Amino acid sequence: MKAVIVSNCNAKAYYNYLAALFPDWDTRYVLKTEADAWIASGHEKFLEFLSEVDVFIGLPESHEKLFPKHLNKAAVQVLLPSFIFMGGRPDCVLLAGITSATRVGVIHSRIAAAAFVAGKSVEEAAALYCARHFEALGYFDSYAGSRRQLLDSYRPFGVDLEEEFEAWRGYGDFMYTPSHPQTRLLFDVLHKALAGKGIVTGREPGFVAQSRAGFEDYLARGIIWPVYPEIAERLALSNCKTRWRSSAAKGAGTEFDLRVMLERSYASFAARPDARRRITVALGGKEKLRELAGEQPAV
Amino acid sequence: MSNPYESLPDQNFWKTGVFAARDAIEPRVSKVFHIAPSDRIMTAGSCFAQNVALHLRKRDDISFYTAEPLREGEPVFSARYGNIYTAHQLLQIFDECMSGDVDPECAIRRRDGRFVDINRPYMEKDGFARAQDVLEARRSHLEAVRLAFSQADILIFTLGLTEAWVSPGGDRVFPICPGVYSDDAARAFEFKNYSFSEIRQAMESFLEKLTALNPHVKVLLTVSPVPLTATYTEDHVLVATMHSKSVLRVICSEMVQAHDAVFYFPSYEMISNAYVGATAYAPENLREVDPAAIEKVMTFFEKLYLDEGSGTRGAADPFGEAAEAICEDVEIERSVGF
Repeated sequence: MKAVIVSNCNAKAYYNYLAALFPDWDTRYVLKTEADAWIASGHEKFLEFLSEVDVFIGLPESHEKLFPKHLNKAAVQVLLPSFIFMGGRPDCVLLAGITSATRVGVIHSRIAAAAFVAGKSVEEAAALYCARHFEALGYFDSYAGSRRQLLDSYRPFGVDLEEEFEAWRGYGDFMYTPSHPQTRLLFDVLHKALAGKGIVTGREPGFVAQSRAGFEDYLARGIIWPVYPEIAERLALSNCKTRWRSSAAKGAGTEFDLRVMLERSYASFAARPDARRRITVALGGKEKLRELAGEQPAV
Repeated sequence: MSNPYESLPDQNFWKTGVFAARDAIEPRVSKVFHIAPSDRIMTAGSCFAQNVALHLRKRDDISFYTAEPLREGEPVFSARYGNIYTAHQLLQIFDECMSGDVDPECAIRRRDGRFVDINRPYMEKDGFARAQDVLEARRSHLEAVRLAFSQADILIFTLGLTEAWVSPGGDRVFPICPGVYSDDAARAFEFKNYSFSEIRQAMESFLEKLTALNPHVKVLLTVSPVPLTATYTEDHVLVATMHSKSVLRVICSEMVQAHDAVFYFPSYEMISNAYVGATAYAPENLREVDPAAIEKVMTFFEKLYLDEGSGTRGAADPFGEAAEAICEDVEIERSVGF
């Protein structure tokens, strides 16, 4: 059997899953951005493999580009969107083009970004990270909605994760950032998806559990965005990361606190001439910005 | 022998694409493009098209083309042409712009004695005192529209109707039956229900002329889901509505298939979907579209068409970009096995 995975940072987890459960398969993976470039340049080896694969696992977006032009029409297709769960981290936002306080990527705090645009000092911004402000912004109420969004994102692709989510809830905080889960969750997602296609039916449960237990959690080495203590307490979330951490895969993986996060974020915003416009757009307009910066009561 | 359906994605099956996804159906089409922040977007069409314009105009991260400043309460489009319900009306205004000859018969006397433009009778609330004023206003209007046609990067056009009222012989097509607002006995008009082939021909002609003027323009077609207020055919208004929408919907598909620069956005399917149990139409008239349904449509529009690199998806979907992002913070080989 030949299998190919075209996805984002989840790709390696899916690859590891297939390598563990189907060691005799010829499994390969490629990041979506690389695959796009290969399609554009006509990468022969890749296109030839695509035309022969029996199982395709990928992001719905990558599938649209590959099918029906390059992909073997008879391949079983397992479409899996990105795993995104904002539940404990409703303050996170991606600001394209603005370096994160974690030094890699573009993940930021919505409150920090709004406070910067509002002209607040780091001290004033730090004061906004409190239960009263989180309450006003609805941060305490976002867990259920995020859970629904996550489950809904997989449902159109035939993957119902209701039961799995309840099990994950037992781990407490099972994310490192809103888009980086513990990889055992990705194991569960792919396992459920493949079962739905009749592929893993009959696998010995003990073997599956053993494979899952030894699953490499490479995302744990990436950056960490904490669950703010007030949110962790209100949601009764256990095992929360409480400090920010730079990537341990790219360096020392040093931890830092709120004040450092704010100072670094402010420096990043200031270095980007169009930061105010980008932030205003990304946060949903000037009114929302004022709410986040604590300048008017959130409605 | 293999079953060819086995390899198809879930959206191809009713059970998974509609039944299981009933609260969040996203009817994707295979042919899409991304709207970049610098793309100038021109909108025109029926009343439903105003929703698109209203939504896009609010965003400060895309370039909504405004050729003429609108006045309060006027239909929101890129210029003050009002609703353009038919393909023939679109072709007509384009031809008029290019020829530079203003329709000499455009001024019509309203019931209150004031003069308005027969091609956009509701655009000047107070009307004009003299017919000559209407012609002059139209001349400068056409100049602005010509510029819009020549400079737009994207034209979003919503096809609204097959039924129209035309001048005797059909040389001129009107957006609204003149008899609705005027009692000018000198102005004759007749009913016309354009056929599929007539509309297709009008759209082809329009596209040919538009791309000759503006070779890089993309045309994004939609069909208005708003039913007919009334039909002048002898059929029941529901039958006439279904006929009209069906014809227009097929025109879109044919145009998309025939031209690389033409695209279709399925807002019609999202709104007029009778299979989900909840109507997207306002309960008081079953005609106007519920604002929440429009919001859903526009959210999907943004997802499909707005340039992901522009950060435009941030507000609604703070982590939408993660779907394609390369994670820079974990060490993953870009590929394995190739």
